[in-house]
Amino acid sequence: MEYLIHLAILVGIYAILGVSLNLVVGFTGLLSVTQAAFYGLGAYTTALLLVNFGVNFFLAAIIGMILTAMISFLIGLVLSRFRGDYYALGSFSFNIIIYSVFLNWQAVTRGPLGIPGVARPSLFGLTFSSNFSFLLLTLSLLLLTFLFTRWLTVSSFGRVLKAIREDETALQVFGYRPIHYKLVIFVIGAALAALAGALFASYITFIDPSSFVLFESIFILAIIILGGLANLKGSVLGALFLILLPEALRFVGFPSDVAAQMRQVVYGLILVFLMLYRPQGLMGEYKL
Amino acid sequence: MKNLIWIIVILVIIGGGWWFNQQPETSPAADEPIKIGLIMPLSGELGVFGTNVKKGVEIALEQKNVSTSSIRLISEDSGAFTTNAAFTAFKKVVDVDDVDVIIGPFGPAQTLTIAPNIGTTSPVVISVSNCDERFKEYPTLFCIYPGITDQVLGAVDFMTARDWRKVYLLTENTEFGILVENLLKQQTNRVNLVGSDKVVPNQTKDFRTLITKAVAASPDVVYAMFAPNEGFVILRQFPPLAKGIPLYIGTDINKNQLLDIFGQNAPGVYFATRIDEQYEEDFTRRFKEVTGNEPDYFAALGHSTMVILLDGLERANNDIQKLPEALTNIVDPITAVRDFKFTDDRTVSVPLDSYEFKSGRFVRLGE
Repeated sequence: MEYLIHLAILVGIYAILGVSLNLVVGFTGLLSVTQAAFYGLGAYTTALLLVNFGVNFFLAAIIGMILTAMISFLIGLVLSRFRGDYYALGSFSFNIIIYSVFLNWQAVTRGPLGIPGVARPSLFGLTFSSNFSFLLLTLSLLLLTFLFTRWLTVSSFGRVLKAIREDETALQVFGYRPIHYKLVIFVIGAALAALAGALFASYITFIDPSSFVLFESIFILAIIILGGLANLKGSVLGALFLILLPEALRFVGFPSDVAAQMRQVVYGLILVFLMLYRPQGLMGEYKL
Repeated sequence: MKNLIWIIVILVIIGGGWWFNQQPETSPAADEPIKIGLIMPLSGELGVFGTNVKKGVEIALEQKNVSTSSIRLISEDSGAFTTNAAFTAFKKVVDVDDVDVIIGPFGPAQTLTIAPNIGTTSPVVISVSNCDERFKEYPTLFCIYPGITDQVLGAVDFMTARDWRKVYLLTENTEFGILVENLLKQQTNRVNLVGSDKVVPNQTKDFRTLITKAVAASPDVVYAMFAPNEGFVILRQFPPLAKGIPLYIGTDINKNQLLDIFGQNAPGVYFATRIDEQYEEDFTRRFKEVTGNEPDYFAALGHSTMVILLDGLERANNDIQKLPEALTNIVDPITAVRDFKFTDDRTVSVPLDSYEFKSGRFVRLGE
């Protein structure tokens, strides 16, 4: 049962990441691959506050979200001037820059040595030390994230985001300034990713830069593409699928000598198959 | 269509949860095999190392004529560098497979991720990792790769014996490389670190710029500490750019493979390794039969670990609670790595030898 609970926690964390990225990519049409960097910023901030200052997890997570929002605002200022492929390239660069900071700023992050001993959350004397209680916390925060983002996307603000995705130039004709909206949604997406990072740091209890590489951003992007762009439930479904599928393949019974490689091959083939026959994703509204 | 997808998802989750719940509670019975979980990178960038460890383990089981009714090996892929995948593999082998011993995971970061979950009733864990001071607080956690301190201090002894005081370091930008650099900086009364460069592992394919920069600093020696794949590249690229400066490389590379690279021309190369002239013969022969290649240090480590483990299980009468003590009391095992054994603090003791490439062969220094 612990194994299933562990997988459920991972699904919850990656679902939050998926929802956060979907706001930027799915609803606004901005191809961003910076999400792992914001995920890492949230994780490191939370870890450092918990380990070095004994700050309560929830306060540390909020501080992490605020700090990540501030940093993402600066990054967004640069990125929001770009469109299309240039936006993607720029976001790619920022992911690498932030990863390099994690890896090399040893005085703060301890570099590759990582930060061990990150405590589990506690609230009013109740510690989420068991994995089941941590799962409940993760699902609660996922629900809050989902409800908030749903409210955002069905509001007039959300309609402007979709308009930016469809035709930014036309929107400008109507007097809107897309740059402001792009910046706001980028910051909100980053803050939500930081929340996922806080959960991750507290759950795994040891963080190091290897968890926040560019590949992780691509994985989160794959979650929302597979689940469906501009569909929040699709983000949850995509996380479920991409986390559970490789684990399910452990039980298929491939010969021991090739089991690991066959898992990768079958995993890849299933994804290719899905993209061929459902390019908009499992629940998506449009194709990237 | 969307509703159908959700219905399928919910049914799969319920079905999977029901299936897991139906699995019988595992309570150890006298005739149940000892289950050993092997958590190693079996795919991706580090897959070759993990696969070779696995082959070494399997050859040891074969040599000892161990049947699957007494020992069952369960292998899981931990992925390359991320701690997430290793943690998930750990959860799977502990919770689903209920293993008694774990060999793995790979590297200090993955080990430190699972370590807080190792309790006194959890499996004994033998990590395929550099021994780290932080491992000592876990009484059932062992490590099989000698600590970096031993390696670096041994290298410093070697350098000072040759009056090589000015050292330029090339290494990885990983925990390993940072510790090497910090240790060298502490040896200020013996050597002077005149410069260093650290590269992201597995992403640098051409070291010539770094080598040129290192040589330009006019050190007495260039000290390179890398995993074998990068070590090979540096060994190939260094000699033409060396300008008479020796290279001392601390990486475990099979000497036959080195001779293939160098042929007859690589003066001024020294290296430190734990690889004996010849691994335990049967192991080497069997490894070549299975893979067609010479065994590397990871295969030898896998073999050595399993030999020690089997001896330990026998001493402990298959009582996992007594296994940690039994593992530290093995005397003169015949392992692929010469004189491989665990010390009382659950680290490993393996002698380090230095070699010089001279007259077309590698000569062990001190011979």
